[in-house]
Amino acid sequence: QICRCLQAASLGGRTTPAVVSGLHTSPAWLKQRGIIFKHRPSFRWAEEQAGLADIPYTTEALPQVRTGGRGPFGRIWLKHVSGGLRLPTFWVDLVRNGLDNTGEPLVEEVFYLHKNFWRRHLIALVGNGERKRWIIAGAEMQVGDFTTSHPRQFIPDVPVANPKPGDAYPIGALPVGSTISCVEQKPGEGAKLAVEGGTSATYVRALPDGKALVVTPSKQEMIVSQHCTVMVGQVSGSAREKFKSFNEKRRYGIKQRSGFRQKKGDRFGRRIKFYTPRFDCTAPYPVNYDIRSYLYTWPGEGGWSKPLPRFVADYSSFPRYRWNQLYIKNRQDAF
Amino acid sequence: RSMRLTQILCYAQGVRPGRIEHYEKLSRIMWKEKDRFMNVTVPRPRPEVAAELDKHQPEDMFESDRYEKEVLAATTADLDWQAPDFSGWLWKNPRKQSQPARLFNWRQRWEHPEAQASALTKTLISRRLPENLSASLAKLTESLTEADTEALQRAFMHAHHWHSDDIRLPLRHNPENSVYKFRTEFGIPPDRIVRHLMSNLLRWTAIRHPSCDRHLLRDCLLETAFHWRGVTVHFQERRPFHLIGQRPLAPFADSQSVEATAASPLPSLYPLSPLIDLEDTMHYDTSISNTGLGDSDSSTRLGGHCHLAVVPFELPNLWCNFDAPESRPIGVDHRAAAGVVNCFGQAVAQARWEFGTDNVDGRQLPRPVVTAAVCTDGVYFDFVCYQLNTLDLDNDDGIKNLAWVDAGNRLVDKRVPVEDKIRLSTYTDLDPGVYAKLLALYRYGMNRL
Repeated sequence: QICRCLQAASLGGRTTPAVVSGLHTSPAWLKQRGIIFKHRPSFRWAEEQAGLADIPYTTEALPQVRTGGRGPFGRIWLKHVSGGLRLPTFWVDLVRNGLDNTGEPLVEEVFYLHKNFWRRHLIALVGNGERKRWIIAGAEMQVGDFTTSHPRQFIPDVPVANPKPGDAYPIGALPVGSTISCVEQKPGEGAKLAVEGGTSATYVRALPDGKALVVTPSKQEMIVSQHCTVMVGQVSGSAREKFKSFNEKRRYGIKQRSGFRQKKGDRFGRRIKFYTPRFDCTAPYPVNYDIRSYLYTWPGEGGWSKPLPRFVADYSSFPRYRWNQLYIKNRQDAF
Repeated sequence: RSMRLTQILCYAQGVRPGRIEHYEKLSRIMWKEKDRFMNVTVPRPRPEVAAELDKHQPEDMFESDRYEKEVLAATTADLDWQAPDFSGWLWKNPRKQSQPARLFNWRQRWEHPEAQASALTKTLISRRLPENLSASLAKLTESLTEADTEALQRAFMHAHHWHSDDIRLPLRHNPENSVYKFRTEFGIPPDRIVRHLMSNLLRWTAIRHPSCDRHLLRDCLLETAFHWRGVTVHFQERRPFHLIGQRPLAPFADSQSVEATAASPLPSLYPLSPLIDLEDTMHYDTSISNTGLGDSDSSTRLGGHCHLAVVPFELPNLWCNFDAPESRPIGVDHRAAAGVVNCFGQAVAQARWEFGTDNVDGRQLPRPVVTAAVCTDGVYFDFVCYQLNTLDLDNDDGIKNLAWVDAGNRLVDKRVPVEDKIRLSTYTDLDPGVYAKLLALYRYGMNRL
């Protein structure tokens, strides 16, 4: 297969679709242009292995997805992952506005506040009508309270005065300076910022064109759409404490590493990545002209927004790949 | 000749010339020496049978059903009963429907149990026994003898500790100390504890208070359905014991108090609906109504009325913390509500048999239907008395049904060690008053000899 591709490169023409077989190692997969995984190794793959992929939502306890750090090739993909107590998890709904079609606020009653082993914050069992679900509990939520989740279109001209902690609003409806948590980066995507126990973000300023400026718990500024749903107040629970003993880490599934290597810093040609000042979530993702982007994107469209294709049908639509850039260093003409 | 052929097929590749003769010689020697083992004495049939060998072919008895129907017909010719047709039962599923329906499932935690039960079944629940029974309680507690208390003690210990069941129990978990690893244990599971205990108690009461008018039925299936605001809710419950009598029970409340219920309101569940904790099924049949005595439409139904039902509650609760570690313990409210809804289902099935399905749905009954139940998990007992007056569940107005619940009666203080084996649990403080309440329910519909 490799020789056939090299021949095509030398001819300068396009290849017929190559039937690839017999490639079992990860380097071989990654070297071939246009060859994409059946689907990308991710948490989704691990869920399919465990049989928890396509099940409807339940409030019941679910077993954890455990691969021991092993990926789809059977070898270790993530290091220092092994063991841990066999305790269940719960499926938490991060989208507060469950069904947004009616346009009316969703009033739910808090039944139960539960402390799960794998989470530092409390999760609340709430219900409305015939539907129950788990949500991240706010610091001032009590059993028997009624929490409301307002729809994303609810942005009045005058911001809401004294919003009740625990309620969910779009950012544009809240007054400037309010403490918020469980912030969405894109509307409808699910809570991503200030989700851990004891954390909170602040709504600093309203920007033109329907945007808002938010300061995250790591003191980083972010521009998000005003339609993003947030929860008022701080998240319940406390911040992460230091692990008290070696065994406590092992109970959480953290395996020890060897004491040989040192912590990597910004030395020897490596740089720690920083967020840009004011990360703009409303803008499209920047175009990445790295060579490896040809493996995972359709060219010519500039961005990660297109979903990854499962099977590549037309290999001829890919641009000409020049081997001499990577593997042939001192030769100017390739074959 | 066949030996030579196999030689050639197996050894022909790479066989040098002259080697085949050598193999032939070896095979001749082998056959000569081993001939006495190779010759098999086959039993030949007799000459008169040999001529008819083609007729007697061997039959694969796993698949042949040549004479099955003839045998069945011959054995059941004198009975007025036709065997059910199980051909294709594996592929036909007549109970599977295209639309889901609700199924009552008390194993799921209810958040507002009493309010939900009363809104779903249109009942007014009171936390006491009815006056007919509470009046006779004092006399019954005095009539208990030492033999009764000793029998009660032995029945309890036999069910919880002495029985010979040696089944592997589910692994326990202590949420306060997640690291402690419990050992695997063998013993009596909670569902069997209830069976053994109630069978012992009911046998003792039948000996002490006999009556020819009633009998005990085991392993009954209750199947029925009712309509709540256009939604069908089904019951598919299995009970270990039903006490059947020939006459119906007398109503606990007279007609005046029944008419007075029209003024009392039902509790509200905003923002929930009473159908919140019900399960969905695709396998149901709305036309079936079975009280556990047989199909209500067939003539083979055993006549009788259910006087007392035993409803088992084998779930994680205050005294057994195994099964699901993340399950919340069940409280008294949940058990009372589940008992009330169980009795409601029993009464609905009874009413559909007595008056007919068309005359019952969505209307007030011509005569109230009365049932009782004992809900237990082996340690805690809840006594439920139910009177069904109406099945008009489309609105909250009008006459309502009545329920009396005496919940939270603890028979014995059973303490299971938190970080030790279950067989080291302690039993103290036997309460004979609980048995007196059971007797009161048992004797309510009894005709004296």
